Amino acid sequence: MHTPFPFSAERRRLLRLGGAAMAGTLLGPSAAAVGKARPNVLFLMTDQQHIDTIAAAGCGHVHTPNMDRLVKAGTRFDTSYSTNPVCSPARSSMLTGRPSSETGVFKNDLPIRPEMPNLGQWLAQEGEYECAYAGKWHLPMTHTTRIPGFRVLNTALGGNGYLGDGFTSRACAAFLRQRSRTKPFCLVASFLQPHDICEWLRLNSRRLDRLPYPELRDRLPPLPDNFHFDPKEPGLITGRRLGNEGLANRWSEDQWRYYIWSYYRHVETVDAEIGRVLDALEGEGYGNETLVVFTSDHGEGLGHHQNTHKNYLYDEAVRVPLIFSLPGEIGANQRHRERVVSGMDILPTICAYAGLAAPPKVRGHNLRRVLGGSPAPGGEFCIAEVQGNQGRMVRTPEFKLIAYRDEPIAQLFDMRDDPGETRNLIDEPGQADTVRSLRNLLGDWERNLDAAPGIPHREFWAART
Amino acid sequence: MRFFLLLLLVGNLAFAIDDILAGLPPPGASYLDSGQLANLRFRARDQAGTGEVLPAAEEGAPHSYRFTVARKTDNPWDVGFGWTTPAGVGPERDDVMLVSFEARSVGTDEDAQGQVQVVLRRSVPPNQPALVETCIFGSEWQRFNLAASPEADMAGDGILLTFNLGLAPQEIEIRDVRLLNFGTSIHWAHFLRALDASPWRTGRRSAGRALDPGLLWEMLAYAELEATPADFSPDGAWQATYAIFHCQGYLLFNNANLGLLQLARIPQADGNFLLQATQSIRLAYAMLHVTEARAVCRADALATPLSWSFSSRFFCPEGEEIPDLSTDEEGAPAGGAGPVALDWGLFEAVQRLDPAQPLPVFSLVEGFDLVKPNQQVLFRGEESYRLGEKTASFRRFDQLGSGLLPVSYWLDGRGRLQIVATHNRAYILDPEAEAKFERYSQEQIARQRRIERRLQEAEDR
Repeated sequence: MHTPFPFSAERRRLLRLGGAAMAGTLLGPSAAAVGKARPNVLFLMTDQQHIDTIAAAGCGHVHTPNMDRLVKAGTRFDTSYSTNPVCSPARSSMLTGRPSSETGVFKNDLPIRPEMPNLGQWLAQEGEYECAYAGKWHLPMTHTTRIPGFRVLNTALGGNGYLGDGFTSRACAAFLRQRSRTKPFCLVASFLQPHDICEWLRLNSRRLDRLPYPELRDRLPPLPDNFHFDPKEPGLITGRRLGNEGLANRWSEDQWRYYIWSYYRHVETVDAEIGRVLDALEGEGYGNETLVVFTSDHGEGLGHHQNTHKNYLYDEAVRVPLIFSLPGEIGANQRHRERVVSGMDILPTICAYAGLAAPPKVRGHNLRRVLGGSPAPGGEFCIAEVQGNQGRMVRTPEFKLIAYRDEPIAQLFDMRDDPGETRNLIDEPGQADTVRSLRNLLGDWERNLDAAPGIPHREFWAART
Repeated sequence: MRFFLLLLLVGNLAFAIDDILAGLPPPGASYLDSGQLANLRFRARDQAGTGEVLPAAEEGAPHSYRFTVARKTDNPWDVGFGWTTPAGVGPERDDVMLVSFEARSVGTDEDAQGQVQVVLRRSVPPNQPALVETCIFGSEWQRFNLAASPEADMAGDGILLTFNLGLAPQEIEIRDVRLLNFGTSIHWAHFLRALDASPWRTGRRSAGRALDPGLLWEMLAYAELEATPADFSPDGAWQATYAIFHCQGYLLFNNANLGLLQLARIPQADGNFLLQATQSIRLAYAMLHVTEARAVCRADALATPLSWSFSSRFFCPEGEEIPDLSTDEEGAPAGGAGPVALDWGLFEAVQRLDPAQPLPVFSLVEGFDLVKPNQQVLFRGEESYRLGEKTASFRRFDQLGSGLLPVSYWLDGRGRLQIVATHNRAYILDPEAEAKFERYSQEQIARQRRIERRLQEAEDR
């Protein structure tokens, strides 16, 4: 049960409806058009959300009654990864089921290859879904009025989720309340928060002599267990970190903790907006016939390894929440701890629930059987790309290998024994077979890619074994 | 004749930069001038380009450099040139710097453009940048004056100024490169104004500290605050129009007065009051969102809402409403909800708050339907801020709680709320608020028309 509203509300929205919409409302949903066989789809996307930021999933420092609703109603994956921990590439994968090397979006501000259908185009074309999109797009424009396959509901505010997400949730809620119900919908609510932590870092980078709000002293969360980092990591990562706000300004421990506290407040702001959309969904009676997908494009440093921001391959940046719910079809309050999934799996899974084949050449896995509680192939590994195709991560249930082009140091972590990625095992003699096996996985994967034209360093990765 | 015209042009341009420099305080240091160009270090990965020194047009005139880039490179840094200063020579944090140079394209194609990415940064890790700017130019000599201000002390390790050329195949010339440090002798905003440099084009510099009346003034969010009328009474009838300012954390880049919040307090015969609010926000792509609300509130410490109605409307850039995205709602607190306040209700309430009387912990109803529990409002005392030559004093309250970043309220000596700031946005009682919003709206609408025209042309092709 989420936090009850301490007020009553009555909507006079019928006054706003046109004739066709009114007829649809009076007739109610068409059983032939919508239902468990062809559920609606609500795709809730946040931006830059660290995986450990949901109260019901174990985070003790946030109040997230609405994400808690999703956790309790659905099945979540703990070993869930972004395909490329920066905005545009990750989004291109979620919306096409393909890795960013294939979508052509190997860095921010690039468009998806035009011949590659996105979620909206595919569901509208193959499933006659009514597809709508609100909020951040970033493929290539951050916000836009035109997205292939989707009706764009609103554009929100560029670079400001703290204020702009409210317009996204309001547009989504109004859409749900006033749509005609003649066919199933696919609504993408793409929120910008907690990405505004980037603005927060610019506004709060200078070293503080004391906390700006003394009342917070007893409320600040602790530093993460893996706050310290291995100085012998790849130079590319060290260089980035040394320039971050905390290290460049010699933050005190309290200031790091204040940053983490502030990040959690950012998460709470988007939680409230999600609640507005979920209330509209349930208030309109769509709750039992809607597949809800919740995820984020990438994570946030949050002080792990003394990192801020994203665009590297430690878990804090590349691991993301992923929750699916559909009452009666997907287990409530279920959790997969070790199955390895990625953002590419979202589109084929949605297609499976919609009764559609996935688009050709999709590389993500359909998780429907897994979500129904049955064993299913896949989940043995995933690959992530990073930094303009300069880096790769191979993740299995047990290990993670990180390698960068032009970097002599690679990293191997035993994720069961060392989930905080603090001990690099790459040079351990006993791990040679593991490293070889992970490199082979990567090599096989790379050689089979249908890389987009112009992807940098393509030959380098294809030659890796 | 051509040579003569060239000389004339060079003379004018040289005068232009000298003219600019004449309007500035003398620089504290010159790290690079045209006489030092002999130290240029050219680099080209995989033979992607070449560079050569051209003879000076006349004695004393600056040397020019000609660069030929054979192909666009994976990384623009793969071809380029630059200088480093020795350790111990460089700017300190917050120094104001000028990078100035002239460039032209000399490709065989008359319409050929040149482009360079200019980077100024610490020469060793962490390589914090003070400037990253791409400059595009045609076949005529063009001077670029780029402002930079480092966010870290860079003197100890020295700095790197580099021109990256791998953005495109091109043949270009560059000359008269200068790198000057004015220290802190001039305010950043005044410096940009003196250079006639658009903050959109140069000098992205983080603010580094949380929004407050002083920083907002430095960010040019406002020039003056509205004078409080002589008959103003916090518990009487009043109206206030706040500019809604938002930023992305830079001092002068991407900041905008993108909205208006108009509040009116109307006392009722029963001792309660009516709060009327209209908020207009210009969204991306010139869409407009308007919230109109009326709330009956008790005249108590939290301005406890008794009932409210509100509407939410989206409009296309040309003003047409999008009817199926509209909402009209009415609401009231349920019994037993505990202390409750509205977000805009607190704008009213803080003006009547007794600093000596602590407020109860309450639930905030934000936007009339989002509940954010465990809110506190705390009195911080008097604060003074330098606004250029003036000093302004405020009383400050802070709001802390779940679901939002801390909110600070600054009131003038008469108890009128002047500024509210939370994270990256602020509400400012600015006498220019409506004019600024109108100007911003018109700019956004015109920009959107240009975008639509380009998109249409692309579709037609």
